[in-house]
Amino acid sequence: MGVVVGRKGHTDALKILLAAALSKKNIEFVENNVFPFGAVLEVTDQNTSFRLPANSAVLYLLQSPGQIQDPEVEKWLEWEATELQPVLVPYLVSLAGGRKDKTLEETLCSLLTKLSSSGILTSKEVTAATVVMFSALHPLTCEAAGSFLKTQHSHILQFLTTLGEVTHFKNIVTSWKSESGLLKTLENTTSQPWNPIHNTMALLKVSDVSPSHAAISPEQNKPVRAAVTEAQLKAAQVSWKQSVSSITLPKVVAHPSLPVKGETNILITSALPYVNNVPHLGNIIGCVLSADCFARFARLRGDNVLYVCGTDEYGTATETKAIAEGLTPQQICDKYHNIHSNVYKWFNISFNDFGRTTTEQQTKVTHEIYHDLENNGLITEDAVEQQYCEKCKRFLADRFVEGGCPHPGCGYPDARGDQCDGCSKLVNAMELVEPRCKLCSSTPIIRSSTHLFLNLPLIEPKLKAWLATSSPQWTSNAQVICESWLRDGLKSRCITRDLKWGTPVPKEGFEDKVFYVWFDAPIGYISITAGYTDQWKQWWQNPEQIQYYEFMAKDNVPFHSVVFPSCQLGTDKPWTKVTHLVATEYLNYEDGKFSKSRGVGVFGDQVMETGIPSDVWRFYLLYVRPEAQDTSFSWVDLQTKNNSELLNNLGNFIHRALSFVFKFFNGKIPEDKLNRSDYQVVAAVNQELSHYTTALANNHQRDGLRTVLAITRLGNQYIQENEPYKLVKPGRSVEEQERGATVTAVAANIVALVSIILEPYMPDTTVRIKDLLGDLPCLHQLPRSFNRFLPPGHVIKEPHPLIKPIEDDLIQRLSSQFGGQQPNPQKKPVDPVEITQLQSKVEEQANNVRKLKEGGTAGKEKIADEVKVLLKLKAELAAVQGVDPSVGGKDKKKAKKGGGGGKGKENASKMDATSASPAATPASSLPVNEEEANRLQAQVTQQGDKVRAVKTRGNASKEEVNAEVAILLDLKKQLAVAQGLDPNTLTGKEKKKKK
Amino acid sequence: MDNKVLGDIGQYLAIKKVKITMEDKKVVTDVGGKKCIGFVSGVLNLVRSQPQHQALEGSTVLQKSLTHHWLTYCTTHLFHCPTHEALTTCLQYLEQELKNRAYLCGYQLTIADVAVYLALHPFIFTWSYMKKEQYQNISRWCKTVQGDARLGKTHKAIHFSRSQLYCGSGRTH
Repeated sequence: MGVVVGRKGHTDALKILLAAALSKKNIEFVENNVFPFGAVLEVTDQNTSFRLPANSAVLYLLQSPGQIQDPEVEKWLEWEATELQPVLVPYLVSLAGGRKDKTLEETLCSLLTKLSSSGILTSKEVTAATVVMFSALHPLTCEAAGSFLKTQHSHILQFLTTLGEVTHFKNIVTSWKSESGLLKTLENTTSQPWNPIHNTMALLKVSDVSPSHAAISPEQNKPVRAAVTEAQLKAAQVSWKQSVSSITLPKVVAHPSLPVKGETNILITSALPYVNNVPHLGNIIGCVLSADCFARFARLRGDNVLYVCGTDEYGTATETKAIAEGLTPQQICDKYHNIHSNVYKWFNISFNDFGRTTTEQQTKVTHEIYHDLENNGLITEDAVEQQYCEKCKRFLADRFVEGGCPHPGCGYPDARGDQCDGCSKLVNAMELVEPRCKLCSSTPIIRSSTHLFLNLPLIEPKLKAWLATSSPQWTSNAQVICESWLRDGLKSRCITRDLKWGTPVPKEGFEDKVFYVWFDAPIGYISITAGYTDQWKQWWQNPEQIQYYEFMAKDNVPFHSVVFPSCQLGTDKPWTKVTHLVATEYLNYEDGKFSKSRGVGVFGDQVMETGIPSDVWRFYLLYVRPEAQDTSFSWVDLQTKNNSELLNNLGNFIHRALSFVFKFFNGKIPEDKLNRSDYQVVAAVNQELSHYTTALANNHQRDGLRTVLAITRLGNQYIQENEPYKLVKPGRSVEEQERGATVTAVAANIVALVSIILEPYMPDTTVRIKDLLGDLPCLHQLPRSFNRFLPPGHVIKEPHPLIKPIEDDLIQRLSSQFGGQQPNPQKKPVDPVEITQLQSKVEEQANNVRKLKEGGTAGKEKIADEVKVLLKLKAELAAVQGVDPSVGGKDKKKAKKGGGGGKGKENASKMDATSASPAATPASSLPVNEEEANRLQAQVTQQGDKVRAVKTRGNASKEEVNAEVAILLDLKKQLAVAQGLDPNTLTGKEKKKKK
Repeated sequence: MDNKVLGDIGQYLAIKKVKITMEDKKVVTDVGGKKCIGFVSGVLNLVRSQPQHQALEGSTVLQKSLTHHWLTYCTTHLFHCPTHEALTTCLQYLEQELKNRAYLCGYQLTIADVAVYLALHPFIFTWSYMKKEQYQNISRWCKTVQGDARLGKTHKAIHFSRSQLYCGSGRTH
């Protein structure tokens, strides 16, 4: 039923045992220390175990369900715990010590008198209070207490004796008493005597000087060195003395990078980012940065590495964006490719090549693969019935068709072709009731279009056989995702689309079709390599010699684990297939999602403007790399990590160590004479180094970073313990000076090691450290163990601080600039009444404005004034809703950019090297109706506010929210039409693309 | 501190006629004429005076006993820490106990959670992310409890971050 755990001799144990006996419940006893209690009752309820200390346990055992608690009993239980025990226990302890405490005895007396006169002891019924009092007071009957009770509190003695005769009590007490040393037990298990004078709240004013409050990690105060074995110690001695010249000099990095037979050759790709979207921090850590960390590590290791990536440029979104911006798709791609390229350059991503998918090689390789698949009978043709809009002259993809929801009972009129917002069920576009084209609202016709299909089921056996050899090396999330696809059964996949912007299909009758982007995008890896070197087949058709690592976020796993390898397998050519698929989870922004449209989150182009160096960003992103689960970017966290780990730990150590050399030894590494404790440090560093190597080899990049910080921590503690700055002072003995020199030399060499292993994380910083150290060849490759890289006499430069602190005001500014979703505690609870009032005012004023504008007779100034009033009201409304009022304005800006006027934004025109004139009339044939556009714009903004209000209210039903959203989308569509825009640009908004 | 937390609890339960006084260094709670001496009794008194809040005392015998335990712990240990070390000891005990449950007494919010939350809120509010991660279970518990509507009105929500500062590989040096 339960287990009593504690010290058997303690009164707490007696309490519980008695209660158990009385309630006829079976309990065991286990002897153990349960500080701060003498004994607890362990109870398990539905697989959760709870521990009840004595008084509460007694209550529990003696209570029957449904029985009402007796406040008297509770009162005395509390009295016993808060008043009696704090006096009784020290008194008993004093008795045990042989010197009775008189003051305590007096206090105890008055307490006991109170107890006697209360009548609780004379009650007929045995209650929890009885048991507790009996047990608590029982020790006073021991010999050491003498005649205390007899003379002064005979009532209590009587109580104890009488009760002691009752069967249950007698048995328990006898067995309990037979355990020795009651008083000793009390002595050992009591915690600090309770005193009501102390108020915990007072501690708020007193600063906690305990280490956990300081900006250093809690681990920094634990003794850092784990036990080092003798073998490790010997190994340390060998490795330290190992002459640096015996280490082979690093190979010259070949260009182009090609595999060498017999050596380790590593091919690395990072999922091609879609050209249209500016990458955000989540994209960056998920793909290119993770891959870069590994690529740099592999190069340090001496492997032959090829790291390629590029922008994925074909597809619908580029097409529509091009129309919107009045450029050709090629020009759009050029523009955005540069944005991507610059972002990654800033982050120091060490691609061997960063290319594009819109190249001749791409078409060539895709065609080759396609023909191979065709020749092997893996391509089938099939007619697919799709909706075609005659007005827009295009086949409509699912999300561009709207209509009535086909699900019974829903009837939502604006369901989309893939999902209904009304009932949230998946929809088949063909099943929509009265479908209409999202762009022009005309009814689409069903047209048959022939497409090509890749027969995955035929390839499935080969795929499964190959997966068995490869997938065990993947990250577990990738394995799981791949498995679930296979479990669901593979079906033939359509690999062509009716689009213009894409890789053409080399088959008669398919001239107006292109390959589906997910078919040809992975082929991009190959074609980009082909653009880099014509020896590309040495990498891509050389599976025996190559290890191929793919880096991506988990949403790309299906295509890289099933579709692409199937294509490769289907051709029967010896393609290099992925051996290690490394997939990350998602990075959130302050516990929410990144969103460009709402200005939430930091995007690649913005990062460069923050004033925080790229190395710090790399460090932080790799620190919170979402390996096993989603993680979250936090500004405060970034600051904390920078200031504590980078500055106080790493930066501080490097600066100190090198300063000692510079100040005390004229910038020359001194002679060293290591003793046993120094070798222990060397051995500990060796341990960390081997952890580092294993971690990074397995892409546990966070762990790897942790080992680097552990090494600098070791360094810091080493300096702290030995205090070389004291030992080298003039006037010290020769031995001490030698010690000081040794410690300095070892510390400086630790810095040298750090300058090597930090490189995959913070390349710029390591360049600077190596420069300070007087760059040596041995600093450019990963050592197997901690060697003496810097020999005595080696000259270093004057060190300067490498890391700057990040101040609060910077973080606060950046945090609000990027719309961080930090909870605002000062926010008033949203008042719906006020909102409705303001909303109606806004609507009224909006109508006013509209009337004035449509009336055509009002003067410009009048209109401007009324508009001002309207905007003010809107700001008020937004403030009451707790929403950022500036968000609504962005829609206006967007509209202006694409619509009639050609005043493109400053930024746009800077990047716009190739576009001749700013975006004038878009290529659409729809007329621009400015008046209508303005009217609709106002409505859109208003509806947008409404939607936001409904959402923030928090208690609106999903239907309500979706209904409002639908109205908003409809208005936006109308607005787009009025502006002569292709609505696809606005609808393709910010679905977070995680490539 | 007993009287402060009692007052806060009275506010939490929205009890209008409650008088809290100190007599003889002990806190006396008077609810509609019914007097109680002591913190534990006082809290239980408050809760029981509001039939709609009965569940806050605990639904099962075990829960009731656990609530009783925690309230006792408050007044014997938590509220009277003379030093930060003592408070740290209490926090460690809490941290350990919260390992296997959502609330102090299991899977339901009780007045014990409210009391401990009211007492610790001013402290946790000042904690750095590092400290919050040190006390992972307390942080998780605090985040859960502060979701309570009534507490949310009177107490600022504390921000907890899910991204770990240190990988939980538990490797010690």
